[in-house]
Amino acid sequence: MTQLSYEEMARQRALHETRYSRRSLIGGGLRAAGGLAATGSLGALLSACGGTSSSGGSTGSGGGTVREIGLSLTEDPRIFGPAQKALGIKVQGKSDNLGSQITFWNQNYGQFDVDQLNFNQLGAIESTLRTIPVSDIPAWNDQVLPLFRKPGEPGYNEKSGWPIAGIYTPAAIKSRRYDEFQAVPTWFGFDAFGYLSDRAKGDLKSYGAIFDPANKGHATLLNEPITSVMKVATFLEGSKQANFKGAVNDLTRDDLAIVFAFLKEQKARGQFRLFWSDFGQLVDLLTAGEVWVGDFWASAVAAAVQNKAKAVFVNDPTEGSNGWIQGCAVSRRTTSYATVTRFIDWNLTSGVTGAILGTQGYYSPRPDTTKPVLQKQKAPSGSGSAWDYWYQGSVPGERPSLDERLKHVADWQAYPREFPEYLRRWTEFTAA
Amino acid sequence: MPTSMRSPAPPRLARDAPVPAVDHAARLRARARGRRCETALLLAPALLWVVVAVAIPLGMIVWVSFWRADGGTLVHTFDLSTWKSVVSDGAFRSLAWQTLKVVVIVLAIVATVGLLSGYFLARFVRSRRLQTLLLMLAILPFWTSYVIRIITWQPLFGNRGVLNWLLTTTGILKEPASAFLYNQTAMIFAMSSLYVVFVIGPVYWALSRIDDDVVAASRSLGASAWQTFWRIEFPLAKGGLVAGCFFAAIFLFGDYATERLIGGGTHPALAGTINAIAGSGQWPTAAALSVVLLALAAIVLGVFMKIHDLRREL
Amino acid sequence: MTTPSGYLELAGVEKRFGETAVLHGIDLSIAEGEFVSLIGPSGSGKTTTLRIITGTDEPTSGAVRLRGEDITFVPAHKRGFAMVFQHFALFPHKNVYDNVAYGLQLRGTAKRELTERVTTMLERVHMREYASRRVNELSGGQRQRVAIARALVIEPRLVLLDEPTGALDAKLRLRMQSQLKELHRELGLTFVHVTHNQSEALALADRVFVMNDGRVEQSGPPASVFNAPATRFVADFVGRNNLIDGTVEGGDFVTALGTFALNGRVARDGLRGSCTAVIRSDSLRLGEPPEGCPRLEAELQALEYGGSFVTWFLHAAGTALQLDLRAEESGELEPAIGRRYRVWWKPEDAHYLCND
Ligand SMILES: Nc1ncnc2c1ncn2[C@@H]1O[C@H](COP(=O)(O)OP(=O)(O)O)[C@@H](O)[C@H]1O
Ligand SMILES: [Mg+2]
Repeated sequence: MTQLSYEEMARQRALHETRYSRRSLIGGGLRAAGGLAATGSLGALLSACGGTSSSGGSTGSGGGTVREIGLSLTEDPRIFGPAQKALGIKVQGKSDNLGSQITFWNQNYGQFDVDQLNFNQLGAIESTLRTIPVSDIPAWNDQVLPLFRKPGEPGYNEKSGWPIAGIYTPAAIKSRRYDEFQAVPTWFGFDAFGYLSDRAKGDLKSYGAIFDPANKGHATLLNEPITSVMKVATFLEGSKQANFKGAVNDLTRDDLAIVFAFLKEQKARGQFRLFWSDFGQLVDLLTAGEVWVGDFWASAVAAAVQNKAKAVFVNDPTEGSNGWIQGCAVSRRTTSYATVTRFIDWNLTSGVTGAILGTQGYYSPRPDTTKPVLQKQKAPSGSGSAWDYWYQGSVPGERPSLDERLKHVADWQAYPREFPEYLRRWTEFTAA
Repeated sequence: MPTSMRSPAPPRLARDAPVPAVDHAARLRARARGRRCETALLLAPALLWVVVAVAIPLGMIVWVSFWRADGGTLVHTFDLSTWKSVVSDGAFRSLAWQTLKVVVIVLAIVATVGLLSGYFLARFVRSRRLQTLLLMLAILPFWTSYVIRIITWQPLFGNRGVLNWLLTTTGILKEPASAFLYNQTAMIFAMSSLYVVFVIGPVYWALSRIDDDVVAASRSLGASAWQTFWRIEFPLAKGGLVAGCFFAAIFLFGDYATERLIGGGTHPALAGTINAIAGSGQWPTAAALSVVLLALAAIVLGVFMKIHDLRREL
Repeated sequence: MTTPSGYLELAGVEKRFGETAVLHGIDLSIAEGEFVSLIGPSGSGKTTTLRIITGTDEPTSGAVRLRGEDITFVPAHKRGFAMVFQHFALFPHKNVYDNVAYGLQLRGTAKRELTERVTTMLERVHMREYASRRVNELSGGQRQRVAIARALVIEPRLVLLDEPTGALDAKLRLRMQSQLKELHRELGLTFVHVTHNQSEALALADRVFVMNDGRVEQSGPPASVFNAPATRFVADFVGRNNLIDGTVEGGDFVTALGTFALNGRVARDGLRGSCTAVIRSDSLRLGEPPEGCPRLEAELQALEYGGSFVTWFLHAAGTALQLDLRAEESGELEPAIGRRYRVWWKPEDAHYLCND
């Protein structure tokens, strides 16, 4: 029964992710290979100087058109179709993988209205964005999860101020009016770790399993600094091995020294099999039993289960999960601001977006609009509705309720102020 | 007096009936001028292309490397801070060194294996048809997509791969070994096997173009097979060898997919790092590292040009 | 068994490539300092023979001996021979000087001696001023001279030349022939020369070996081979001979062209059975024959003008005949294609080959 839900998730994620991540990683490799990597990022650098690069997918000229880039997941015709119909507008999407989305947006934000992104990238594209008065998004009302409206709710992190710090402008936070967005959240989820139940040993409720000598040579981390470093920091702080000055999503240089000293020791000891770099690769690794424990994506775990691997995703690790927010940032050069805000609003109120992403394991900031849609659908497992299953945790041991998960958030993924140092240290570490 | 452009005056004519030297020289000059004009016109598109596709972007990269990134914000000023941090950073220095090391090692392997295979193909495989067949087999992987070639690695060398299966069922190993994937050796092996075709082909063509009699002449003049190889066949195949290595080097400097997928991200190279850094919006650093990468590539390619003037191969 | 006089000897050398036998037992013996020519039509096995002598190839059976010592399986580079290839086979990446110096470099010749010997050799072949040229900048004749210099400079124990003039035009060929002859005389080396051109063999060789289908048909000084061919094949291949087949019956030679009386000398030799009369093309005549001379009627088919001579090609009862006339003599006859002429010869000008 569980299989079914995972199957659905896996089918879609695998379809999307393999098609995009893997291809673009490899395509990138080939492109780089073809003309030396340097010239590969040339386009990016070129248009940094006031670029004129054409923007593949968007030819509309504002008015009733929303030109968006984002993950393939949200560029779903099942979302765009109803949006166009309901609002009488045109929505054009271009999907890109995480790695190059920042670059692409920074080059081409002049030709787009909306960047649907993980809020941990906001810091990298700040200068291309316009802020949005909360009043322009009527959907952002009292029905929005309190966590996203004011500090102090379960899931709120005192130290980092997230998720509030990611959603609102510094002025809006300072004034405590929370009346201006940096970007509008439209869906969110929780990241943790996973393992193969027939292989991994030790305490499998803790991130510590990744660093357990019993799993030596079979652990892995994503080859990317923001999320991997945050996870290690979450483990070190959660297990009382370190007390960081910065929040785990925004470490200081000294904090980073501690994290990387730990990581280097692990690497030197031969703890890591490899550093994985894309969805398809991770699924292969799990299926072949190459890695036993690591910061697996829930969707990759689901795909591996479908391939008969005994893979498990840990929803609520001892040290807490890493929450993430996806949402809409608006280009400084948008030519159709009114249409854009209507589109964003629709994503929150229609229940369409919430339901489609909900059945893939993700959540909407407006559960109330999602609820009626999901209640009409059957749960992939157990006897209740999809709403009961995905939001309420109706099948114990399979999936906790949203409230439960919010209590177990260590912090939210963010673009750290010391990002260059993160990157430098990560490069140094992987090369060590 | 010949008037056609194509038939210059025979020397005897010039001596017997002296033509004013000035006239002749002037005409030659005029002709040369005309030709220069024509040449310039013919070259214009190529020149334009080089400027637009190479010079401007290169200049841009250099320019951007003097910018600064404050968090995610680019500061468009002339600033040495990016370069200072790149140059003073041991991590980047070792990255550059590692990149160069891997490229050089792979090139050495590719050159040796390519030379031996090309020689084997040209000299020891007697049948033309078999030669072509083997060459096609060597080139075939290159026609399949990169993904497919890389994906086949895990079923071959992984924990549950063919190699480990053989080693464990024959009792050579008790446990499947993880040494065949996700380390530098595996990465170098994979890169070598991917790029060796660049060398096999040209070396084979160069060797098979050598007349059998030239080899026989060397032998009959007193050279052993080994001496003949080093003094005759190798110099004649050198152009192909260097050309092959040249192209392999170009690909190698840019290949980070192999590093990620076979090396398991454990031995990053400049190209992949540049991509990651550029992808996270740190353009000045990415640009500075690109300049470093280009410089390394230029050095390696320059060495190749020094070893053998590739223009002769064209 | 070794013939003591032989410098280089081939004894019963056979060569097969798979199923096809290319050489069927070659025996030859060459004296030191001799200039011999292997002559024969294309495909008769000349190059194969040379390759076996140089050691580039091994015989299937038989032996190669140098001064009585068996060298059949001594590798090419240890024989101390040098070969001049039909298509020169110069080293394309070396200049003229380095091509010539190659063999001496391999022998570790001291620098000064090497320079001197190479320069002298280049002078000998009139290529000194081209020393630093790349070989692909040379004409055919120049390449040939470099190839010869490269072979001779090492003072090989044997010089093998495979159709050395085959790739040159007629004028250059004659110049090269005289140069080769001169070099042979001056250097006193032993030359084995391959050609399919009998006039070249006649001009150069002390002795010729006529090869046919992997066998030596006849050997000897060129003049004797040309004047007294021992087999029908040799008669046909060398010189400009008319061959008339027939049978000797009593004192007569009976052919499809008629019956001719044999003269006394032939009768004394006691010929019988099927024979071929060999008559040089300048021994056939036209017009009314004197008494006792053989004669026949033949139709004129073609004429070839060659300077002071005109060759008449005639046909009689399935046999092709050719005869050479002085130009003015031919002109007086006002030849007409298709007309029949009377052809005759003196009995003593016919040479008979019979297989018993
Ligand atoms: N490597 C070989 N394989 C098979 N047949 C060969 C080979 N070399 C020569 N032959 C054959 O042997 C015969 C003699 O060749 P060759 O010695 O080159 O003749 P020549 O030099 O007199 O023209 C020819 O019929 C040729 O086809
Ligand atoms: Mg021949």
